[in-house]
Amino acid sequence: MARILLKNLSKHFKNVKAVDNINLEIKDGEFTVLLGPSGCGKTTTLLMIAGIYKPTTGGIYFDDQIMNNVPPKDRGIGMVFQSYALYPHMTLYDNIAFPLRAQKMKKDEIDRLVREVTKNLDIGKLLDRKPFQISGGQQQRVAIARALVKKPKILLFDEPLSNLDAALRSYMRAEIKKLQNDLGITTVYVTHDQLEAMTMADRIAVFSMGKIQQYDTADNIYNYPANVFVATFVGTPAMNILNVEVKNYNGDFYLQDEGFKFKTLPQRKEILSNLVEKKLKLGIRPEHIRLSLKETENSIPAEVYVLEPLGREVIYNIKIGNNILKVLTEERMDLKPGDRIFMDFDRNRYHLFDAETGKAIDISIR
Amino acid sequence: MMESREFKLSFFQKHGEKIKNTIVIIILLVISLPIILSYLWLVLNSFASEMKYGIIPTKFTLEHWRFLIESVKGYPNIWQVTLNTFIVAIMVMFLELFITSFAGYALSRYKFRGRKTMLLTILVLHSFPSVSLLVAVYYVLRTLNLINSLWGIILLKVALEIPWGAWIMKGFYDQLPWEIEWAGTVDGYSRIQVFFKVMLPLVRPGMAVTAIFGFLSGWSEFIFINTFILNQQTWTLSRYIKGVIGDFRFVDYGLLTSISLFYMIPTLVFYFFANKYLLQVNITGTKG
Repeated sequence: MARILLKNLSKHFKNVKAVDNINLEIKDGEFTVLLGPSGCGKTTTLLMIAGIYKPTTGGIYFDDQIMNNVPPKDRGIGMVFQSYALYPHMTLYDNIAFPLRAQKMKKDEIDRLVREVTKNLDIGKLLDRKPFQISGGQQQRVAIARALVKKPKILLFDEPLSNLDAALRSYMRAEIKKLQNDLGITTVYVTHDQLEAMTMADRIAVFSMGKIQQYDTADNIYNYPANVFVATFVGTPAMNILNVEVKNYNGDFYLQDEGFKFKTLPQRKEILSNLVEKKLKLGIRPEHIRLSLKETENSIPAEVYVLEPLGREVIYNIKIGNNILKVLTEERMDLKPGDRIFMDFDRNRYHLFDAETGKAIDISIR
Repeated sequence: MMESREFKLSFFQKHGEKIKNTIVIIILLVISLPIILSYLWLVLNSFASEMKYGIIPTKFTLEHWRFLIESVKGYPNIWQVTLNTFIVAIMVMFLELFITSFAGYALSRYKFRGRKTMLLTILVLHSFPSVSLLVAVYYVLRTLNLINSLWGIILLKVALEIPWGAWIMKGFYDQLPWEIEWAGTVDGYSRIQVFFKVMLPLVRPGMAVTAIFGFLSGWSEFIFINTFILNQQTWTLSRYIKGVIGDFRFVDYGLLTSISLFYMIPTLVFYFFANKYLLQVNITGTKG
């Protein structure tokens, strides 16, 4: 077991700063997901933890021991690759035994460990086959077995599920989480799929442009995003973002732009009074917007733009001013594009961001 | 219910594919006719004692193959010559294979200064005709005291074959994903161990191809042997054939065709076993 610490870590490829001065602490036994769009530096960070890339500057520590110059073979890590990277010329048995043979282990000891690790992964009967003779899902499990067999201190996953079909992905998500739970191995998992991140992680580090945007639990990332990037990247459909200004009309504070104004709760007067006339971004989650056919207090008129039925829920796309908002609800309303409608949202659950820096503004009521 | 109607096709639309294929086959046949005919002549002539119109055999004989049992007057023993040819071919093959397995890996995996220039020069070098090197090579071989020695020929051939072989091996290494190599290092092996345990087994088809090319180029070498080998005992088969044709005496066509066929056998055997690997050759461009 090990704790991982990344200190002021950077990796430059020629002029590109793939990873730009990040700090990250992963506690012993924790499941951390590095989440971000492609090219954000998450995989580069993982490969540095594995020792495959050398950091340009900064340090990588396992349990207070600096690892920068330790080769991958001596780091005590197990890794699962996106392509699984099984050795095509070896049988599955040899693939899984390969890390053990590196340790010059005795034959019957190797055999015992291979049988042990494959028992739970449901690949025990396939061990005589070669990788090309089995399905993608089975290859995936062989790759996991190979990573686990030497009982690593740290497990690394590089987008391991992206080559599987949707049903299998959902199944393996739960399997990997269960496995990590049982074994308690410190795990770093890279993905661009926020659903994987939300469902599996103890903590998520959201990456963008080589920097960590936020490092927190899934709940906090979802409910208290640190900036516009995190707010819009996590959650489907994405959070609605509107450009607004705070206006003071006779002591009531409004969030306003061309075509709409929202009255705010009186409890936030103090916070909002500091933000008057400032350019802000208003963020509202699609599930926090309510639609109704009749006008209510504080609701504003909107127009139905398009409908996206999902079976259990419907995404209503509505237009206010020049903005199109997504609304997620289980409620069925007989609407068609062009219909007039009224929208309102939960005045306790919205987010304000600085329009220039994108940083979240703390508007919580104490 | 809609009634389905058959769509009317013209004759050519119906049979177009067949007609096209037939035309292509006929064209290919005509183009390759000279080659087919000359090989046919070679085979017929070596087993016939008389030929009508120069192409139709009338009498079967094994007379022309007597060189296998007894030395032909004025020529060295055929088995000695065959052995020499094998030594050259096999040594060229092994040395080339050994060096290009490493060189191809380095060209594929390492980024070093001048890598791109090197890759391009390799191709230019390979297209140099070896005749143009004869004089310079003569001085080198004389200095090393390798004139009249098969080792001189072997080293020379290997040196000239390495660029091409390295390029082919690079193509095979290029196809192996980095992830497999990384997996090996994460699994507890050093890079050189990963090279031997994972990478080399996976480029086996490439090694087969390089081996074939190395063997055949050694087997068919003529110019250097003709120039630098003066002693009949160190002749190879190509030089032997040249001897049969080129000396100032009556050309024994029966002997010539039989020895030519004999000379072709290893080549045919090699192709027979190796054609599945040859199809995999992929000479990729300069990537990255």
